Amino acid sequence: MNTAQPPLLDVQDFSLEFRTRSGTVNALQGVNLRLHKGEIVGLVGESGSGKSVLSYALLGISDAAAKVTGGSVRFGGMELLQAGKDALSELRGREISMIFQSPRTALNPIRSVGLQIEDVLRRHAMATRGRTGPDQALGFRERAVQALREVAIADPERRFHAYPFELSGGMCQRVMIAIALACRPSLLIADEPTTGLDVTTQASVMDLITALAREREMATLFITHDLALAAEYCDRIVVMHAGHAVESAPTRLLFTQPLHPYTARLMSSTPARDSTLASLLPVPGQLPDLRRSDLPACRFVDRCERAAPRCRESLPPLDSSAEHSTACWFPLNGAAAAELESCP
Amino acid sequence: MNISPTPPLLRVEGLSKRFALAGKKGALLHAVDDVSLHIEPGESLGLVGESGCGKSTLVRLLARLLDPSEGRIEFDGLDLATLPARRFARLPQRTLIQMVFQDPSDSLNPRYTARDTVTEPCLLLAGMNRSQADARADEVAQQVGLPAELMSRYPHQLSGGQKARVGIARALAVKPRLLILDEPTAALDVSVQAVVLQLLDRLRREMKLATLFVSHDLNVVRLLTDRVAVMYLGKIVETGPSASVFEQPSHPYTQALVSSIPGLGPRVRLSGEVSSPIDPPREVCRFASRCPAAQDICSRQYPASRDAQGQPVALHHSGHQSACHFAHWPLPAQAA
Repeated sequence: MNTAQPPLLDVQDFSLEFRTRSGTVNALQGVNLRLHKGEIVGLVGESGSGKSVLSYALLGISDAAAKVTGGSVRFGGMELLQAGKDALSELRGREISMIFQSPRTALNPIRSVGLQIEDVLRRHAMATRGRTGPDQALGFRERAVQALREVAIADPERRFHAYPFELSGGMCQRVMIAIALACRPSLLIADEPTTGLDVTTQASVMDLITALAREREMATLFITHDLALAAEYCDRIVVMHAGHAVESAPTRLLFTQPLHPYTARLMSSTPARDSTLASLLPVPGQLPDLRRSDLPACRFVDRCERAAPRCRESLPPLDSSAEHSTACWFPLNGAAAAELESCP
Repeated sequence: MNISPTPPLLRVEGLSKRFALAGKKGALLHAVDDVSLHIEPGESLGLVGESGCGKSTLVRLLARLLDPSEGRIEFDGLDLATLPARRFARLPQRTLIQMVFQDPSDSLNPRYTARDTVTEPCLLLAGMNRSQADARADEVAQQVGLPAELMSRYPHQLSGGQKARVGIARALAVKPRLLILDEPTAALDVSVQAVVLQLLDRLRREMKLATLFVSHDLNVVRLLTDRVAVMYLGKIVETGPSASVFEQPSHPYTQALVSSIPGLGPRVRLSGEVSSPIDPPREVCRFASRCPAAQDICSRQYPASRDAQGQPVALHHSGHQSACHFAHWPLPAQAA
């Protein structure tokens, strides 16, 4: 991973809302996010944080009610928000791929898994022509079997013909990974890929994704609510709360020196090896209703013990080019916090 | 003179549940196979295992929603296994064992208000009249921290944490002595989970409730239970005090499970296929096909439960024990 190079994915000041019958939901506000080639970044947040909404928006597959209200999403220099449907369709599966949360729902139940991999290969046949390497000469069938083998599915020639219902959850997830990686994308978005899988299967699926990512220098955006899982596998973590990216840091730094109060609370409410019940500190309050038109600048303000009037008026932007940054006026070990504490 | 100790509240012996398979004549799926366990009054027993291990079936057997193929389920001296589930559903004893289900969005009737949900068992099972049931509902809502004004709401008007509390209130309304919790916080965000776990712990101590806590999240089980049982393919492979089982897992499967918890260092890798729960050979250890430490004897003789010194244990021993021929040898962890 080389952060001196321009980022592969550069999301700047990205805002999105949903038009619904009960009001307009400000789902994402001013999100800054960068991914470099070969980097594995965890996007961590609870439900309602906007992490999945963001990932769908990156691929241009948001719900019809979604409307981008600002910002830019640049991928390899190309502005995705202005790309036409055809251009995006070319990108998806070929340069940017996604693994979804529930493999059985994402896979076509009435098509064999092997054919589903072939479908992606055929769709992007134009792109794979001209790529050199040993698999250049193989046909689509062979390449699909090879994809199954690469995700450690035993007996791939036979499994090619299996239907999703015949496979376990873990194997379905591996098939989804095979489909996503078939055309060797440079960016992989994995949306809660192990939710619902057993912990031993989770470990092997995560090992597989990260091994393939490292081997192919593929940038990976790993979306999860499980902070411990992100800590285990990601180089860097971005924490989201109520549609904002609130902190971005290399994994170790996030845990040793969290800056944002929400990050610290999230960590202390997650049971760890040496936790006791009494040591678990839940996050007080609730998510603000994102349909309100009078949302404070910082959406954590009503749940934060460090909040000041300033927090309602404005919010410092997250600096996605910095190693460790937070969108907070009074970060946990910042000078501004000391200033606040010394106020009468 | 020998003073006999107080009998456990729940004593399960040789419990099995086999399902006949459609299509394959005579083949039986052994979902729960010769399970024995016990829970003392006021004790919390954890039940962990992955999909296909049979814990859901075991839980439904213990909650008496399902009839066993064989075995004893003794609750406070009464053998529940001989009573068909349908009959049990109407008996006053039904109130003694209650269950909190996994996903409150699935297990709460969407057309019932919170009050309806909590008063229903009071009216149907505990023989209360309307005003008694309402009073009880108010009382238990307060115990679980559910504000009175939320009682008239429907599930879709409640947050995840609030729905979880309604499910707990419903179970507690009829004053059970054994509470079975099936992944009660799995559907909740981690910040809400913390609150619900603290609530559950407080309630069980205050009400001196025995609990059976089923979860795939080992960190959560460790926090809430006194003892834990690990299941694999219908069998219990290890039990013991929770701290002991998590700190020093002795069965190779438990070791793999514990090492899979993120952030705990080198992981034990499991390879090979999970063996089939259909007509499993009686003398083969169920885990042998994937066990990194398997040897010849594992396929010839089903291992008896042994303690940390390798000595065979009695049926309802509370100490740390595991069903492995080599249980007292620590398994070398393979580097991640």
